[in-house]
Amino acid sequence: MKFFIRSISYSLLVLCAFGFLSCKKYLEMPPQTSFNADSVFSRYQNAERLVFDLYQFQGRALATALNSKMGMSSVATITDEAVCFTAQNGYTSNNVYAGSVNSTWFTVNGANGEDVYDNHWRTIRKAFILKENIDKVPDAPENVKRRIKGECAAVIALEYFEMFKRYGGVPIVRKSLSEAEEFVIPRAPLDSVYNYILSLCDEAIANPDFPARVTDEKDFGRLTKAFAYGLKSRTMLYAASPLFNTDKPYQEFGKNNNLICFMRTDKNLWAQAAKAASDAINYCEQNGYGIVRSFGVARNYKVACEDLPKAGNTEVIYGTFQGINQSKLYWLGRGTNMGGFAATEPTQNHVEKYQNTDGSQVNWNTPITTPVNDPTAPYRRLDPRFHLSVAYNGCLWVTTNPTYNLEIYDGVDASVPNGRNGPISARTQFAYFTRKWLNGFESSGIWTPMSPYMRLAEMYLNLAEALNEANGPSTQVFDAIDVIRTRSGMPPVSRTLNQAALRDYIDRERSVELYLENHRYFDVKRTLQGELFKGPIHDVRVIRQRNGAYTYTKYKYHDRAWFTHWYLHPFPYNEVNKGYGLIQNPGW
Amino acid sequence: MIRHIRRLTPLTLLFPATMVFAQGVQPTKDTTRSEEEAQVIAYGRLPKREITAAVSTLTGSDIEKNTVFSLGNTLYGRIPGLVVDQNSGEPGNDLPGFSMRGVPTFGFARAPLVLVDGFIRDLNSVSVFDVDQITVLKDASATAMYGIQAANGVILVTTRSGKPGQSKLTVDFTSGVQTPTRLPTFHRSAAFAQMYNQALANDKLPPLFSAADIAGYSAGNSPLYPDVDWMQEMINRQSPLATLNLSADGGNKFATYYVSLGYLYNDGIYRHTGINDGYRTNSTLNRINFRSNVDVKVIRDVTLRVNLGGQINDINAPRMATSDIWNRLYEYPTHLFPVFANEGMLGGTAAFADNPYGYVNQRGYRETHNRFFQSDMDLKYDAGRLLPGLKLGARVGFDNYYTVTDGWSKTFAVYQTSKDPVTGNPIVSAPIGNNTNLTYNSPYNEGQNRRSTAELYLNYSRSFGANHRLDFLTLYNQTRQIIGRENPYSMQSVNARMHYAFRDRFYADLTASYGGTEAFAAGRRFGFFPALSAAYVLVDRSESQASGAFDQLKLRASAGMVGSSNVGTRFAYRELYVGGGSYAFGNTNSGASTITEGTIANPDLTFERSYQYEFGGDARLFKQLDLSVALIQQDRTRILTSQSTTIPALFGGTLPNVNKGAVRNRGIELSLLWKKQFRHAGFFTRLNMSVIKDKVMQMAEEIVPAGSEYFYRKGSPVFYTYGLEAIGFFASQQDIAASPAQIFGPVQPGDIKYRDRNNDGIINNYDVGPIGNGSIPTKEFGLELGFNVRGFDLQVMLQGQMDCNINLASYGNLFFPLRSSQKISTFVTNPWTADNASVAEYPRLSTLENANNYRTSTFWLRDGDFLKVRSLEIGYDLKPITKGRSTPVRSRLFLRGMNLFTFDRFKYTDPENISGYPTMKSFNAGFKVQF
Repeated sequence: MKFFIRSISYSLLVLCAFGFLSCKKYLEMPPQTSFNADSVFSRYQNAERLVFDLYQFQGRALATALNSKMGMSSVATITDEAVCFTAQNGYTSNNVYAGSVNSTWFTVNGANGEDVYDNHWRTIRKAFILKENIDKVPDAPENVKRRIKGECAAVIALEYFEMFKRYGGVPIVRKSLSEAEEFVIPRAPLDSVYNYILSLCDEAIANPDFPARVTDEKDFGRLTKAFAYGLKSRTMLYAASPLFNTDKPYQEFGKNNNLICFMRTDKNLWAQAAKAASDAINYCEQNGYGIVRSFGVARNYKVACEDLPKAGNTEVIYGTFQGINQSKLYWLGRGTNMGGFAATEPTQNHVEKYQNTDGSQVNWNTPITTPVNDPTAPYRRLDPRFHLSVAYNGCLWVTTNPTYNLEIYDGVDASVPNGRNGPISARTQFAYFTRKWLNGFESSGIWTPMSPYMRLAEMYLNLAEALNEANGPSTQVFDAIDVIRTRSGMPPVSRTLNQAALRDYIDRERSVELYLENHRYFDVKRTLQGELFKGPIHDVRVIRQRNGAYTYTKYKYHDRAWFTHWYLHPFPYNEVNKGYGLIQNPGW
Repeated sequence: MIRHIRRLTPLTLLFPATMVFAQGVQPTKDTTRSEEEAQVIAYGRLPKREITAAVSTLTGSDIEKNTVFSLGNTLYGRIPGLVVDQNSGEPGNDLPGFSMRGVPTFGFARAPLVLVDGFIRDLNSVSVFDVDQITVLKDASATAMYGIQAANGVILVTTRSGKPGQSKLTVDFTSGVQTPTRLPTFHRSAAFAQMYNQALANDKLPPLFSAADIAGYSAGNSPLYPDVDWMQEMINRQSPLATLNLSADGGNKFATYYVSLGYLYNDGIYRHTGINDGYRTNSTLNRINFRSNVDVKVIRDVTLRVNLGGQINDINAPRMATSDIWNRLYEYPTHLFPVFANEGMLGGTAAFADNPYGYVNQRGYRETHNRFFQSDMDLKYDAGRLLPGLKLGARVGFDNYYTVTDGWSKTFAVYQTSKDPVTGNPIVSAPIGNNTNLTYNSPYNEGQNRRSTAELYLNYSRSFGANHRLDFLTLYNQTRQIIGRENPYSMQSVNARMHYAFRDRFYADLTASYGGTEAFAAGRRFGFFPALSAAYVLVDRSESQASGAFDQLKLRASAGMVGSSNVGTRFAYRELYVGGGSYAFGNTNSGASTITEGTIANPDLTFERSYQYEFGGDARLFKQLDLSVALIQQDRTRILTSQSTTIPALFGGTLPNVNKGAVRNRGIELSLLWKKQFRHAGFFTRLNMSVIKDKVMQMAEEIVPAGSEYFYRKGSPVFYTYGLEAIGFFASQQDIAASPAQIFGPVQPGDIKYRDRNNDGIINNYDVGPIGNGSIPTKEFGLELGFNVRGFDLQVMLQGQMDCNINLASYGNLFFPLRSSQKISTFVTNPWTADNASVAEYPRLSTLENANNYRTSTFWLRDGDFLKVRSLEIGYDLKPITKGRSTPVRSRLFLRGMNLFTFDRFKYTDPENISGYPTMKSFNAGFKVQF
């Protein structure tokens, strides 16, 4: 028995030791080194970084010219504006040319496609979380909190607009969803989404602390009230356009027609769009924005498109630096002084949209032979915007010492050397290289252009288009167009144009002015001109003759695929397959 | 914690309960059970006959017969169910990968838990010569003592210890040369130029090489037309290696010892690495390891065991990363520049400035120093005086691992050779890049890793009458690992095992562990892991006089549940806002840093559970044949899997993974030993085999439309290769027009044509389905053969695997010509052209990216089966010298080859190690002397 007691006491001792060693702390949670939902809103310093986070996907989602979409080939290359190096299979624009568009890459994979559907929802969630919680921040003044709420509304409006133009009606989310909820929300009718965007814009506009423009230079890149006005104008222009403003959608969708059109044709929408554009112009111009005019006709356009406000760009309403960290080699033609991958090259179709400075057109329909040793003759008198947007044979590419002229030609025979940038030497495909965004960076290792999402110039074009559609030609329409033309040294538009001719004229002017700013793809679609994308896409062949003259011969480069169902994007298949009521757009 | 203790109390109470039961019962002579022949099991030893769980053992003398630099490399094919994947042969970087019994999970961790002398340690930290036993614990009953870490199996390494009364000194020396098993080869300049022109033509681009150029390359006698085989130039076919080990062991009845000191030298395969004064740039391992294991009887009934072990590795290597070096060797052109443009001036161009000769030898070097230090102590009190059969003990272990790399770097210039336009003679350009002097880089890759473990245990053995015997063990363990500045990794557990023997014929084990880790939320941290196993000895000829084929026959069965807490994420129960990258605002192109909502918290995150069942038998037949067979099943549940495939995207947040996946493994293991020893000769053959198939039972997957269900991985093995089914090459534009559209990129004749598996008229990701076996074999076998005649002996170890694939799409720079490289490997034969379309073996060449061809499909799959001769040894044991000595002098001379032959169908590079630093084979000679 003595042994028994002793053993019990030993085992108790062991148990005590267990208890002692296994003290509570051994497996306790380590100190928290990152924020949680409470601590992040406990200081303005942290909450402000959540504001910055609203813009995290904008470099891509905004579809500005400067981002790595379409396998680096830029969205412009799926329009008649540009073409990518077609032998480079990795440029997914080639898939569009061939007609094989598929939601798996087109709206899922940001690097290869046109959009990342999920990112819209991610940003919307961020904006709602911030909007709902910003009042918790103890050390921020009320006006700062209100400004952030206005900014959140504008961000949500922007994301909804980006989905509206691509997909039509989408689910409407009005708060940050919690994981526990059943978030089975079906697609809302198109007009509900339209009204939701307008109400968000109005909310931002009504916000007294949401600034008209960024006052602190370091805030450039954040949304402002001017943007809310501009977005309203753009949204209303899209809504008034025939793609949506109809009772017969581009493709019959049965009882779901209301997801892709307004179910009625309302001419009044044009008048409303015109009013929104004119409101935007008035608001902007009263608040310090203005068309860039003071740098000379040869440079105004460059400042307006590529420079920062501090460099005199009073025209940019929303622009960003984001998305330009990838190599600019994708924007350079092959075989230039820096090398290049020719991901985006202007087409002859686009070049033909530029008028001469006297308003006439170059006739490309017969081969052009230049005077001896004067390769740039056909281009010399073109619109200054051309010279700032397109690089061509013989143009001065690098203007600083040592200078560099492009030689995008082949010799007529073995006795004439091929140009160093021509098809044989550099194995290029196209006679034009991109210049816009590269002005000043032709031989520089650093590349820091500004990438605009919205410029005041667009508002004038919106105004002209909407007014012309609402009431036909008027002085107000002509004047609006002239604002854009004259600042680049182009003559005023002829006052004799009728409504249809003026419609084409505005379309042309818009694609010239907003070249590579990713309007074209959606402008063509909203005006139901998709057949334009079929081509034919033209290029010129440049041959240097023995005597030193150059011959420019326009030829058909290729035709492209276009299908009616492409008017709206496909929702990602895996999203549709989840089966919660996301109805796929017709034809996909 | 108190609550947890309460849950454990019943376990610990088993002990007094058995004691009460034991009152008045005499202790049996169980202490006479030989501890010597006992096998290592979890926290103890047991005679083989009594083992009811799945345990395989290797002895030190088996392991010693390998010339390797990582202990793991001795295990190929030796243990049924343990798959060992060979890796590169780079000195200091040749650790193989392990997985136990198929592919038990698609979760984060598949590697078995490794313990050295009972403490969690790196398998590679132990010298091959110091190993006494390697024990592999395979089923839940064997591993349940390690509860929450046990699901992937456990490898126990036991180091040697001394025996009383036999002091001896052993010297073991091996020296040899090694050479790569296989190296890839590439088309030389002339052939390359022709193929490149063809590729340009396929891209509709003008040719680059003229007929004169090609003739120049064929002639190969002008510096303008170089033809450099970089493999030949930079890779040495003979590099030395050596191992030396000294050990002493012995002792008396108060103390025993085993001490050893070892040295390993393994040289790399780069050439010209001695050209620099004062340093070499070759990849070289110098290792010193030591061990001291001492057992001391401190006072009456108290023994103390102190093990100390350490390893000092100094690994020299070229300054540039190994993968970068091999990428350059694979990708740098043969035709563009010679090794030297001129005397002492390396060739190169602006785009190809990393001339491999300079890249290996003139970019400096780096020296990685890593040190293992391990110490553990076991204090045991034999409380037999208090209560017969009772032992108490405490064990602690402290380990430290430290690594740091010192780098010295420099750069070099290259010179381009071009043709003088006037004379046509070669001229050498101005330098491209700079020749700089060696400069020191501040130490990098510095890392420290500490682990401390404490254990208390209590062991009680008792017999009850003549028929019953009971062994009871309970153990408390806590271990904490601190890796750099990471939050500590901690584990805590209470474990117990009851071993019961009935008439020495029926045995049963009840094992359980209750353990937890800090990784999960309170309430989800701890798990209870029980296992039960039993064995019945049907026949034992040593006891009964029955005759028949069977000399011994034992049947055993086990079932249990164990866990795996290493799910790849910790603290997921916390809601986090994390750094979200940066966004550029304002006037500069520098970003403002952002905060973003992290993954939504998952408070329910917990460990994987593994339900394991086994039924098996061990038999001895005809006095010479040992056979073991086991049927196994493992159901792994609660594997972390994604939710984002089912939750609508409009939620907008990042959803956490949840414990909802499941995998099932089923298979058979077999081991056969036929051994016969005559007076002067003998032979043995041992076969280990396992066939284990895994199947995904539950996994979150993208939902696909009807008709494409083959897309799902559910129902297939975890590592099955999924891809498209290639059905030849497009013959013409008409063929393309008539075929379903392939959406990966525009196609041309000569591109790979895929089958429209779901017949929807379009080839896209939904046509991806299972196309072949996975990268991990389902059938593994090892075959050991040996014989001896008088003093001579010969042993061969063969190992093979079946039912696995090599996916060439994972090794683009060898098999996707001209994509990232300026070279075409000789694997590429007969590429498609319009003229040879009917016999083409490769898609059309292209100088550009080709997203259609270069993706996983049946075209890129190759058979990965192989049979390798892992080791072959011929030895001669000299007659022991006994004259005038207390211990005889024994000596052995041997010749040994490692990885000598590989039989496979791939036949290009090593089927286990396709690209990068190659696997090595070696030829060695050595001796072993024991004084």
